[in-house]
Amino acid sequence: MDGFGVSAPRLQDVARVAAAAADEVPAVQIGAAVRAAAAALPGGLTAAAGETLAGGWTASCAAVGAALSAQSGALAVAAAAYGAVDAEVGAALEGVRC
Amino acid sequence: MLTPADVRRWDPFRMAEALRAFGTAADQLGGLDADLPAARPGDADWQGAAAERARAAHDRIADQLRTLGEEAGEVRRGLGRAIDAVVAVRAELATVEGFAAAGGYAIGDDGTVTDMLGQARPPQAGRLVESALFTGQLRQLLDRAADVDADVHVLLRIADPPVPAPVAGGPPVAVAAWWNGLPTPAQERFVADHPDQAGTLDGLPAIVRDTANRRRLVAAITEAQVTRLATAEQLNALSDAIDHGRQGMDQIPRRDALAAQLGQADAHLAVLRGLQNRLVAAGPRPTLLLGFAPDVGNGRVIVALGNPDTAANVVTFVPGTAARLASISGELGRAEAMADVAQSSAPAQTTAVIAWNGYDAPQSILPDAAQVRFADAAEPLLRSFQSGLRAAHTGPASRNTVVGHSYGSTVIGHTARDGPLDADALVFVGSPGVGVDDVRGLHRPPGTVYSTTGAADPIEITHSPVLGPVDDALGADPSDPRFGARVFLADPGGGHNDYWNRGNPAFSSFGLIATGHQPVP
Repeated sequence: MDGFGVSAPRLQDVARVAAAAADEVPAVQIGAAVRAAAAALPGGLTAAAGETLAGGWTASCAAVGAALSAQSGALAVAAAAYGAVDAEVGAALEGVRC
Repeated sequence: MLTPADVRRWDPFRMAEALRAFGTAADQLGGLDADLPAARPGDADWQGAAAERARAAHDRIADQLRTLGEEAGEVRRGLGRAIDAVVAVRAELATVEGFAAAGGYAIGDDGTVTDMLGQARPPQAGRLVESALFTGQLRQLLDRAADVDADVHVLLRIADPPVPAPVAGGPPVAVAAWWNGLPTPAQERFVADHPDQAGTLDGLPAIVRDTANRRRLVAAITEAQVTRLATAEQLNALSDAIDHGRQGMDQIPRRDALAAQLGQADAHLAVLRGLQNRLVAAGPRPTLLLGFAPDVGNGRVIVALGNPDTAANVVTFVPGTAARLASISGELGRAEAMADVAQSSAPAQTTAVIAWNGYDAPQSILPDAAQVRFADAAEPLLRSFQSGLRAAHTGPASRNTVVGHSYGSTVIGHTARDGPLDADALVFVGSPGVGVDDVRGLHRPPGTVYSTTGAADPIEITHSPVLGPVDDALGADPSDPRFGARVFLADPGGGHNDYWNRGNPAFSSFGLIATGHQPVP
């Protein structure tokens, strides 16, 4: 399509939702779950790899959280930028008289 | 390897805790996934190119979150199945231990079955059989336990990104670059998932190859034990049937064949256990299993005494006719002697010596050892191995020497003749010929090819005109001054296998050449 249309307040809303999710995903205690499984089977492959496996799951959650955080930041910046441009253009037009 | 002590400590209740924790995590992730559409910019709220990119990015993130939740749910279900298996294995162990205790046997933490009654009197045949049966039951039980453990391990790795495989058939330097670019968890996963590749890829660190090959050795021992047990049971059953008339005398040839199979299984098991014992034995230098392929050819094995990745000098010893998996203890004896003499020659330097039974050597003098096909087939293997040593080495470049005894010298000669061979020195010992008429055909810098042959070594007959058309079938004698190698002294009275005798002047020269000195002329 040519051009664009935007609701800056709605963008701010979705940015806030994304930011909340970004905080919640890394807080999921999945590494602890892996460690419990590894501790339950001493002596074998699972126990030997317990920390590595826990780190892998935690890193996966952290990666999703980081991506959501970046998305939230970009949306917030976009909302602010669109709002600023709108205000600036509005002010310029306000001064037009004939 | 799992032991009964490990399995006794397995805790299904703790696994249930893990299951609940995964369930909670899966629910949390699912809840977030359900809420996430509210974080997606709607088509009515925002239009334009940036809006499309934002929605595409959101959809990718949402997919990742959904996958993570589904994987957590999959682990929850898998742990449920694993708990049942753990309970079953523990119950079986308790049963076996109960029967053993009732019969007067004790099962140690490491799985050793001890006849508590037999300690006070000479063991009886029946007790020995019973003890062996308990050992066999334990082994099978521990194998099942290992399967359960491996299943859980795989299950928990469901969220891991796949490890990219190295370029197939790529040069060892590319393998080393690929390996060094992997994060540590990915390296660990590759070794766990692909021990066959990790154990054989030239260019990987020696420690990594050793780790993978030790696992393969344990697996091979387990397989050999199972084969041996099955063969013994068949033989016992058939013998009993023949003895009691349930089978006719026509079954005697089958019984004899089974007895022969049992003998082979015992011998194979003894070789594998001997190798395992050698790997764990205390010694002046680490022992690393750099290659292990018991089912390829006559069985291939490569063992390093000392770490070639860090040593200042690295010697690759290529044995000749009759080399195979089962002969490795002999080659290791020579390798150890060479490591010792190199240490004496240069006490301040570290020297690693590798017994390279990494090719299919001829198994008979005639007709096999008179043919070049074994050397030709070995060329790419030795070339790649030597390049791998260089690629995996850390610190200042090592001095790499390749020593070939008898047909092993033919292998080295063909490899050098037909392409690059990463070595600073080549040493031919008791050589029947190296595939070229003179040293120029080996494409080496001047003064880096050495050769020795004792006057009494019967290998000289291969260079004798009395053989007629077979004379020099493998090439000219590299110990002949006309060949152009640096010839060094050997005991004139020594035989074909006497070069490693400590009194043989050739033996001292091995250490001198390996450490960059000139041999005893």
